[in-house]
Amino acid sequence: MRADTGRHRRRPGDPGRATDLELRTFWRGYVESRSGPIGLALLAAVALVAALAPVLAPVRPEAFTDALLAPPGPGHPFGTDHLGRDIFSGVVYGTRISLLLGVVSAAISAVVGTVVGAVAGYAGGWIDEILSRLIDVFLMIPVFFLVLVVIMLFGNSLPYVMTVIGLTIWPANARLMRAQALSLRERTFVRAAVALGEAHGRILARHIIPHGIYPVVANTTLQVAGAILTEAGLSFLGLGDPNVVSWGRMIYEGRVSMPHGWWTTLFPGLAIVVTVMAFYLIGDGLNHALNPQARERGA
Amino acid sequence: MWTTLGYLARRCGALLLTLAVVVVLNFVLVRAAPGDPVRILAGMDQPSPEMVEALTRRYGLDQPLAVQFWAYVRSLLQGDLGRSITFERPVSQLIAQTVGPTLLLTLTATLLAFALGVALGTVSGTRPRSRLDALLSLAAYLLYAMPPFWLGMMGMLVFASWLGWLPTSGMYDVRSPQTGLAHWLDVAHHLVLPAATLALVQMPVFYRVTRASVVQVLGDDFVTTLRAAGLRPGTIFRRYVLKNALLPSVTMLGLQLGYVLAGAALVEVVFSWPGMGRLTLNAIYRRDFPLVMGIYLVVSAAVAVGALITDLVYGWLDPRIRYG
Repeated sequence: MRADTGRHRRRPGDPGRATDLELRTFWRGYVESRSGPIGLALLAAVALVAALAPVLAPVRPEAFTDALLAPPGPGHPFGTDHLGRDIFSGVVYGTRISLLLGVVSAAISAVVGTVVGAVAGYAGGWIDEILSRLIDVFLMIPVFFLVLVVIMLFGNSLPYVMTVIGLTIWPANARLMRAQALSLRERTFVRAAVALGEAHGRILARHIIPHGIYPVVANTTLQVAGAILTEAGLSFLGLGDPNVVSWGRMIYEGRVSMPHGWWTTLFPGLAIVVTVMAFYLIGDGLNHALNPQARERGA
Repeated sequence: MWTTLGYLARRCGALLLTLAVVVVLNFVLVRAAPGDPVRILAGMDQPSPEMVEALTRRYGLDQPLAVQFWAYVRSLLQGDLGRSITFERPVSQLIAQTVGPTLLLTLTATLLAFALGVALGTVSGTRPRSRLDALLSLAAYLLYAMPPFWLGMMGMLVFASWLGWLPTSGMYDVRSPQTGLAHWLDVAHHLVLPAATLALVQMPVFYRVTRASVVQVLGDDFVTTLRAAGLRPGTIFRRYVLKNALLPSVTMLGLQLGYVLAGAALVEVVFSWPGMGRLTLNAIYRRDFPLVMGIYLVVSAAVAVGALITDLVYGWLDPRIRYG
């Protein structure tokens, strides 16, 4: 029964899966945004550096060379720090850490936010009341200071940092998803599914979340950027994972060689700016493509 | 009138709820963390027996959790945020001493960012997709992507170390007079770099919001009507567009507060600005947990109150809101 009707079956009013035309319209909106394609190109470059890190970097980022605080030159394109570590290698390998941290944190936030928001909006009633209060409260809690307290208490290994960041930034996603679920709930195809007695969990997973997820996706790209900046800030306060060479940590350690060894902080900082900007640009491109009204007005 | 009061009551309720959640979080985190709460509160692995005894008694750690929680809440209500281990002084006193410089830095930077962001956002929003708009948008993206501490270090490098125009750190020069106008000029001189740093990283938020709302309002039907009625573009803009476009930026002022305080903490560390951020850093280095938790509580309360005030100001600015 399911196998033969599955793909083409449509309930009344069911928007179904995105068609080719819809995808093409979306892509056109994304390209029109100008920021979207630039961000994608930047991200491609950053991802390439991360993938090719062992090829690009002359040495391991932890390796001590004999050149202490050497300025940028032929052997060390970005110079070395006060312990003789090659800055260029650190920046190249740091790409992996930043991408990993940003993507994992944002993914945790997306999953938690989507589930909480979808349940709240779809269930309504007292469940929504409680979950909405929770979302509002957690939206108001200053994330950076909370993360700081938790990291200090529980430890600062990279998986921990990623999880804690992810678990503190989800309310923004939950709010977006809740609004989507509230409006989708009233649509004919969802009502039809309810009337046919489909299980609530199945309706959420098959109809509400797949059709309402887009704003969460756009916000998640922005949150990748935010997570990378948060980690950099934590590392700068000395709360980063001491076993990992991240850009924030490089800036933190480079501080002792300021003002003469400016290269120890300049280059890791530029790497953060480029990577964070890539995600901001992509997120804005997605929002632009998702929001046709704003598009027509040239926003 | 009654609906306004009801709204006010509900917003205050939300504020209290937030504070309650923060207090519970604070309480639970210390006890859920790996290791003995005594060791955490003492900030060392091997506290002396006297210290263990003193801390156990002070926080009632030998009592059931409910009793401990009640004691914690009661001391908070009395304004007791705990006692810093390393400074050997009440946390509230340490925070009171550092809150002034932090407020000075944060308020200066936020006002600057707001003014700059709204001005540039208006410039961009009135000519969307022009070259100037593209340039300003790019600058906003760049600044938005910058870690505040890094921008501060770069500013320090150029304007303090290389050019020597501005002091590198601190809030005043110990050799200059400590009173009167000369003192305030000295403070202002020291404030330039940290405030500019914090303002620049905040500016993009106000810029983007203003730009988007100016574009939106200019496309609204009522503006077209006013134009058709023959009103001068300048008058339409000043009297109708700007007013509407400013509202979202005002909201951002409140929503941004947590982010601004985090940025301020990092900038303070860079410039050795004697505020709460530097106090936080000291607390982290010395593993002074009561101090860190106290700062966290105060920051959370400040952010929640800030959000409430913004809400009220917004309602006062926008008569369309009737708090239904």
